Amino acid sequence: MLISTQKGVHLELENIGCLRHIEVDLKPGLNIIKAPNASGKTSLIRGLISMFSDRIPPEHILSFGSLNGKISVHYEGETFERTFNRTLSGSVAISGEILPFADPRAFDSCVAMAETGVVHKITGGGNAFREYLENLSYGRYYSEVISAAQELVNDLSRELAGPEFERFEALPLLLTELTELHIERDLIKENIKSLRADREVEVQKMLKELGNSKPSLQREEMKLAELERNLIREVEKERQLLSFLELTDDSSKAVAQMESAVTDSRNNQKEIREGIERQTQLREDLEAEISTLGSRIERKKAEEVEGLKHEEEKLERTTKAIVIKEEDIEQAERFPLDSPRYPGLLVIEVRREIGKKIEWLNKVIEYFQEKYMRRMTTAKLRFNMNITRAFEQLDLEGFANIFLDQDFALHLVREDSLQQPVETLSASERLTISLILMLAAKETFLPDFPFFIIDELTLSYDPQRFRHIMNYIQQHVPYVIVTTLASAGIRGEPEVTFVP
Amino acid sequence: MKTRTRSSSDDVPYIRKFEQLALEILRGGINTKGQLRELLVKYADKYAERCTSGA
Repeated sequence: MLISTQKGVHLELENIGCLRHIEVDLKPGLNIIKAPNASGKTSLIRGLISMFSDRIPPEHILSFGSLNGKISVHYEGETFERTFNRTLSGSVAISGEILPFADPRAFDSCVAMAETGVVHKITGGGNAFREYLENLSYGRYYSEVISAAQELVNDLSRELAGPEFERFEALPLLLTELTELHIERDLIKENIKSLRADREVEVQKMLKELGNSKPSLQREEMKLAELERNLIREVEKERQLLSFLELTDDSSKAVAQMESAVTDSRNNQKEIREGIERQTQLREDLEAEISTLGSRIERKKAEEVEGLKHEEEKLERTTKAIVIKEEDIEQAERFPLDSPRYPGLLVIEVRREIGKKIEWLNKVIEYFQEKYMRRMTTAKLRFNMNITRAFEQLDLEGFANIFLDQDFALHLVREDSLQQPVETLSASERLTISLILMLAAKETFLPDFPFFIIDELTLSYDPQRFRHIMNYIQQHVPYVIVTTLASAGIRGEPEVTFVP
Repeated sequence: MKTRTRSSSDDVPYIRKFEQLALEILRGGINTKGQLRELLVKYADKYAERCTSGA
């Protein structure tokens, strides 16, 4: 292990990643950490990061087989120490003091690690850089509030247009329909009453007619009985005369008189029989008439019952419709039945209340949009200034400039003035652009942050380009820390070499 | 003579308190979405109540 003795930052790690114990000095300028694969370069970097950011989970920092670990940093005369303790559940608790300049944004603007995919986060195209800028400028906080408020506005608007309010809005219509149903039911009841009354009148009339016919029949039957009695008397009279005639022998005069009386009696009997025949016919006619009237009454009754049944069915249907309508209204009201206020009025009040909530949320959205734009626009202006300066100083071959447009999208301008989407660049070009943008971000948001860390990203650089880029970064950051694979001959723990 | 610039927040009741609490939630970084929504609902309710009682 090679540790510089020059003053700067003294870093001590214990049970961190694959490192049992290591002490490292970092000096102002470029610090190159060299080591073979799996020897602890990234563990060392993670340890340093954990002193100013909580973005790397402590479980990824403490050695897997250790119950506790420690990182201490001696910086500008003060020592800051953080300890890592594994709990019974296997998670790792972290405690202690972080560096005074710690800032959660430092992880995104001052740490370039392959494992975090930072290059893709910055040069991924689309909204990638806008999101990166939102995180650094805290515009994300404002956009999250805007998004949450907008979501709530949408939910409340849907509530207003939803089935609950549809029912509320239908309430006046439901009440009108209920009133119409009540009117219809009253009419049907009137019809039924009228039909029953009409039937009663007609039946009474026919019964009266029938009642009148019956005495006539009785009278005619009495006349017939009288005639039959007369006939019996005449027959008896004839029989007596014939008896007397048998007893009288010599009185020719008396015989002649009796014979004449018998003849009269027989004539009388004949007349009476004819009368009986007529009377019998009359009685039969009357009986037929009464029978016809009775049949007519029955038919009439049957006809009226049929009409009544139809109306009664209508009444039943209407009553059911009223019950259903009343249930709909009860559901639509959703307010206590004893409420003295008209439900429609409450609907208006609820709507107004929701409208007021939406009004406030829209004001919040407007306010936060204004703040978001102010932050993002300020960041963009400073960012563009820093990038332009970087391009002027770096003089990157093939590229003229990078700038952010009004929508915070990234535009790369080539020397031939053509714009090229950043995501189409080669891996090394994307890395260079990402490092320049990160440095611009650092200068924009964290100008006093002392570290700039690049972990295993510069392997694609040739030595000349590596020096060119590192020289530029060195001019803007006190401590540049870069990891790289060890050259032949270096073995064991990471070795730090300082490039002034 | 300096005059105070009118801010849009002057027109939004409860906005300063809401902003302070919302930023605290967002800095906390745990269940921010649910907590933000609760806070928005709380202050929207307060505003609606204020409008109703003042109407």
